[in-house]
Amino acid sequence: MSSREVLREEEHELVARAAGGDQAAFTELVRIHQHEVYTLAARMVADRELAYDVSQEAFVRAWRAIGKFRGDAKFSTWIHRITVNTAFSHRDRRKRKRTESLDSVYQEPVSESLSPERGGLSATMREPLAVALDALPESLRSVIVLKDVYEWSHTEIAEHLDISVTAAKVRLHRARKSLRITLWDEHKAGAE
Amino acid sequence: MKTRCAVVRMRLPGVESVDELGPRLSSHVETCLTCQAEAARYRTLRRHLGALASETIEAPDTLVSAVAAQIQHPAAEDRRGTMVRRAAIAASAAAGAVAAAGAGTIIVIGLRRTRSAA
Repeated sequence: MSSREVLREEEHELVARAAGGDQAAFTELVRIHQHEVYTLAARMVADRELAYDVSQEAFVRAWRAIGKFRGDAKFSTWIHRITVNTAFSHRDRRKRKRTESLDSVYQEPVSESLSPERGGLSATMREPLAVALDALPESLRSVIVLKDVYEWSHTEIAEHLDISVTAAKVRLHRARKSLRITLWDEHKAGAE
Repeated sequence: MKTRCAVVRMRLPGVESVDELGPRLSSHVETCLTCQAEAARYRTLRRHLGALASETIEAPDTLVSAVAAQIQHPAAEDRRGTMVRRAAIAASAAAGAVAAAGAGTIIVIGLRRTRSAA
């Protein structure tokens, strides 16, 4: 059995125990998935403080619903979907918080302090892309993040965002076009 | 700009590859350097966005313990979270008020000095 299979087996066991009400098992699942959930939340809402709230609430929602989790999908897929839904339910609260301008330790831009686990982004492109992504309107950012970063289908995006597939495609088109203009016409990232 | 170039430029953000543009536009891209450059920009953009999937933003250290506390004592944690937020907002507001009061005092003293000098 490969190490990946062992991990999946262990996770399966943790999920089963958590579904039976074992808080320690669920906390272990939180420990395993905290960074990926926080990353997804941060990419969706482009705000560290709000990403923290979204992550916390997503895990709490998952805890309440884990009895219904049938294990057809991976736990990570399931928690990602809950995180996306939670991010959307926080939209209005986010607007309110911005006006309060409360200083917080998590308010630095999402584009900073990434872990060493970096992908293949060229140095010239990484920062401008992260900044441009954060600057997109939320309706466009959420679609391009789910489609081009997390490879969701248009149908999945439409379902979760409660929009039509056509609207999802239109938003993706606008988001890509906007990033292309920002990165090549305005900042001239020169990342080709 | 040629009509076909304009159509390619308009449709490129919505496709995953040039092939999706259809045979006529795809063959145009093969012979047009401007359109090839534009297609390459979108390819680069999609590639870099895809690479973000393997990047992780470190969650704050307190996240696991906050969730653990929340699932153990949900009501108490809700109240505590609200109180902490209110305290932070109140502290921020109080700091603002102190600063405003200080500024007001300085202005008043300044005015009195100006009047007494006159």
